[in-house]
Amino acid sequence: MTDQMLKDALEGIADRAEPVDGMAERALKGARRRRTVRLSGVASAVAVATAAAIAVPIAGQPDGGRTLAGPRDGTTANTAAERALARACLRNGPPAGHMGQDRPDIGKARDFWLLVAVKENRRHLALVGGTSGFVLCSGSDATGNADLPTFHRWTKAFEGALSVDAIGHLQAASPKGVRDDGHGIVFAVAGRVKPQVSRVQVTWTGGRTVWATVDNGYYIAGTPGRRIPDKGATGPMSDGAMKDEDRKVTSVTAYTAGGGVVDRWRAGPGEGGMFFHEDCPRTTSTSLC
Amino acid sequence: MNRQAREDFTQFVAARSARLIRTAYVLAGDQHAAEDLLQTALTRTAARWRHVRGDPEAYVRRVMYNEQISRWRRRGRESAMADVPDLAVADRSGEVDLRLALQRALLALPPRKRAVLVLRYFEDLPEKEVALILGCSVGTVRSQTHKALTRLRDIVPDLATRLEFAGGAA
Repeated sequence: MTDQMLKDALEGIADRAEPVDGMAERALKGARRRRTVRLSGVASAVAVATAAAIAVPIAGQPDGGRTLAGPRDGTTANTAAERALARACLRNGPPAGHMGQDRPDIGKARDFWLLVAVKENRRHLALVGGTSGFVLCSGSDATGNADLPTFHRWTKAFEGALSVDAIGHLQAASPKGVRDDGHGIVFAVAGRVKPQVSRVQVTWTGGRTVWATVDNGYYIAGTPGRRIPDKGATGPMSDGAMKDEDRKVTSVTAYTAGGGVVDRWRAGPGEGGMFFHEDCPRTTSTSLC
Repeated sequence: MNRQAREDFTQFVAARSARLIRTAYVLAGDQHAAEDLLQTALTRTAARWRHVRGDPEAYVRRVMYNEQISRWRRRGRESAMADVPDLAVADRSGEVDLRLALQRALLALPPRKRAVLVLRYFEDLPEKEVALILGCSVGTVRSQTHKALTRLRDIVPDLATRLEFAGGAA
């Protein structure tokens, strides 16, 4: 049977595999770090930029944006540099799902644009999106994206002037493009605004306030953070356990060019730590979903 | 992840890792790459442990397949043929030699084609399920299978006269 021969050959290859010990422990450690990176971490690239607690616009100040239910379309084409940054954030391929799987339903890399970014000292914090969803990106000129580009779907058509679409923690990258000690993270907030919004201000616990970069209906802001020893960890995996610095978004405020407040989101109980719309069906959070 | 979830995950890995590393090896082609692939898949699984429904092993396998293909894609689809070994078969009438040649040819396939064959012939999954795992259509699975088998025959011409694959007679 030819199918059987093929199966036997594959079994023969599999027989070469040697058992591995300690994989669960390493996976659990990796998962903790990954959670920190993914949830908290937009920011390495932006870490420096936001260290001064201000966002540095690189794509120009908003011109009022446009009415958007989703990402901008191709009529507002990126410049060559913006396309290069988008490609770098996507690591030259389409983003993957959270399982690393291909997602043909979300399109190809060329279907994603740079929507808005903060860039400083060769590092960047960016929102790259398409019609179906977006990717948060923290990286540098050298690394592109410090983490694997992960797709998140646009799921909320917003009625107000402001939509908080993502609150994330990203892995930080160093200015030279080399990842730092792995403990640097970026707390990031990104979303959409209506045309009347010119400025967006994000406030985290502890009072840190950052003016977001707003461009063509999108905004993004970040502030640097660290992973810290988890002294409360218990059990066999507690040795060396790390956790994200505790910092949550407390409010996001949208202003007109004249300084008037047109919309404001305030975190409710349990909100502000990390959020993507796709999590809505599984969360009790209401104001964000 | 709370203590109970950690214990559940640890027990799951202890019970299934021996089987999973075999699949990882077939996909990745060597021990080091297999360990790295499985570690990545387990880390992703641990991170999503609360949300994993059904059999976690199926979840891990799915992550492994997609991760392996993604790695290949990110590396710019580097040619696996760069490592194609000398496939001269000492004794072309020997069953062992032929099997070894087939194994080496399988390892020389690009990861996506290899993944299709692994899912079809190693995991014994129907085309529909393969398509689901790889995130493509059944038609793509069929075409990839055909191309993979054709590639095997190209690498090991002896197979063309020895075997009749499901993907098309030699």
